Amino acid sequence: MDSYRRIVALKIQSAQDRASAIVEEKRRVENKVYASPGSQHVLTFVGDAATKVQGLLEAEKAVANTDPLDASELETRIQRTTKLIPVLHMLLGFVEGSDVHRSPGQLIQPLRRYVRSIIPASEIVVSSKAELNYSIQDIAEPLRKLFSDTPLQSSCGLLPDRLFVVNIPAVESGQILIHGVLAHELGHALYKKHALAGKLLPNIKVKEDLIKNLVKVMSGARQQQQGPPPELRLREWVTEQVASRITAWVMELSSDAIGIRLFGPALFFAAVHLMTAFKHIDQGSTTHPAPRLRAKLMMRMLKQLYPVDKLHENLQALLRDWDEVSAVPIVARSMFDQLAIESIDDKALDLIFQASATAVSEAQSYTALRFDRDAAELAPLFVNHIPPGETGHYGRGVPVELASIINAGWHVYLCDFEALEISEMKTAWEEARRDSKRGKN
Amino acid sequence: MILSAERIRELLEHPAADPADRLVISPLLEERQLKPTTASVDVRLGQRFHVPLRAKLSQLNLLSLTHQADLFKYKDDTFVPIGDYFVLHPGQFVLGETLEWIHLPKNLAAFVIGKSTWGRDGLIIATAIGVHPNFSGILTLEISNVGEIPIYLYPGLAIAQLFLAVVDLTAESVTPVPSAFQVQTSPRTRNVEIEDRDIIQLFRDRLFPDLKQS
Repeated sequence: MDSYRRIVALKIQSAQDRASAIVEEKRRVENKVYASPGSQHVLTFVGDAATKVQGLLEAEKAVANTDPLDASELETRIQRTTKLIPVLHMLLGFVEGSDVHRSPGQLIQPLRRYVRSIIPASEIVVSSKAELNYSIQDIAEPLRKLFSDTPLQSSCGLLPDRLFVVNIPAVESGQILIHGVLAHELGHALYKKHALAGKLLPNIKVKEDLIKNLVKVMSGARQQQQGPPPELRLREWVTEQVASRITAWVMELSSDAIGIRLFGPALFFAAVHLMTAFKHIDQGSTTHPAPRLRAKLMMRMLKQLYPVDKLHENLQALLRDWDEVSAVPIVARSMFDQLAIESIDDKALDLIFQASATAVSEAQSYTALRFDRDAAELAPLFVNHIPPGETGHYGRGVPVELASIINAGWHVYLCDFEALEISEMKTAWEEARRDSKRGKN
Repeated sequence: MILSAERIRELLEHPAADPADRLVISPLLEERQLKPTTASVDVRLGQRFHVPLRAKLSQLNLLSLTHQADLFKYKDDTFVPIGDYFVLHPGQFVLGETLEWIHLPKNLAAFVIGKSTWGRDGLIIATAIGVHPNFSGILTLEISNVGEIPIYLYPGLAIAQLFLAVVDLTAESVTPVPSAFQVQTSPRTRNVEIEDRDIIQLFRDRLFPDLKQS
């Protein structure tokens, strides 16, 4: 027992050092300038929690030096406090990536306004990391859960109702058009908020006959290799594999569907540009369906929500290509994937499409009318390098919404890029440089 | 002809139908930026400052092909939030920016001039003051403190004024003139034009033909 008490003393001292390091790091990080207002909330929370951890550990010293607790009780008691230290580290990591040099400042205000219009009383931290992944996660709720019934519970009062950490890939931080993918991530938040899983999953059935066939094939193969298989267990396992894929894929597809309702064609353009860059069109994973299936759902939605045949000819051509490509049956890379794909048929895609309407109000929807207006009014401004304007003259104007900015941007990129280059006068400038090198000037 | 503040206001508040023909100065935060009976619009100091790292740069050689790359590598970009300040020490030179995005139509040119309020404290705002027609972007300000006392620079303060002049267009001048600083979104530096290097080479070849490179 004495040896354990000495270890406990060491444990407390070491944890105190870690907590002091967090307080120091928080001071250093605090000196930077942050693009997202939510970063300050996180820093205040981390500072408050780390200081409390220091105080609590000091108090634990006294407890450890007396005899009322046995080794196991003492370990459990101290662990209640020390287990929170890695969480504070993780939070500092979010803030570190959100300073102005790493986060696109132009994105913050429109995105914050947009998120707050969908989920009031929320705050955002836009953080960029060196990984090719977009994500939006609410950290306020999990932190409240984690810190509930701990001595640090009161620190949670410093957090807003919902604090969304928006992660964007660091190397893509300047690519505002690709940030249209954030609509999909917002879709995740709304999928949870509106409990769409409960509405959708009971109506998407795993195809039992296909499972039976697969089990037969698998048990036949095993019989030859390992003797008689427990068929019931095998069937259970196959069903579990397929069902878990369906559950995850329906969430992803629903987030796409909600994203299309929020951002319209901009999500589709951003998603296909990002996905095609590095993903196999027919290869899904246990968590994400194959890009072809995602494109198929988004195309179905676009064709119903937007007058596709009246769009600019470049957009029509691109959408036509994707329509044809997404209609090709998917050849999955695994049997489980194939079964999940068979279960998420056209009927299931329509269910997802319809369910997404319950998560997005009409006012929040990016309609065909808005797309037309943005293409007609906002896109020409961009071609001439005129920014959309946040507030208009003397703050009298209405700020342009993020969905409109990104859609108009895609319209320029896909339909008027030549005009943009001419107005940027790059062509003329490059020509002048070339002439100079050729000795014309 | 220099435009009056009233005429500038008219152009801003009643924009031309074609975006290319619009005068844009955005954001205009308050009406005071366009004082009646004056002939300019006040522009504000932006939030980014571009400071060359003296400890790393031994010289500025505009003819060097690595000039721009060196400046890009050895610079300190500072972002100052609204409400905070940047201290400009005596003799210090930094590149700043206007808070406003400017877009000039083909028939307007502009001149950026410092405000006397700041000038009397020793602050020089811009030396290369001309902005050509068709320009789009933020304006880079060449800010230096020629006084003897440090000056606090607060982003958002009206620090310069923009005079707008009508350009006498001829049929030929309708074609946009290439500008190396077009669509800049932050303070920017660059090499001298490639033509200038060519001319120096040409002089050298004529003066010392025997040294002419093959």
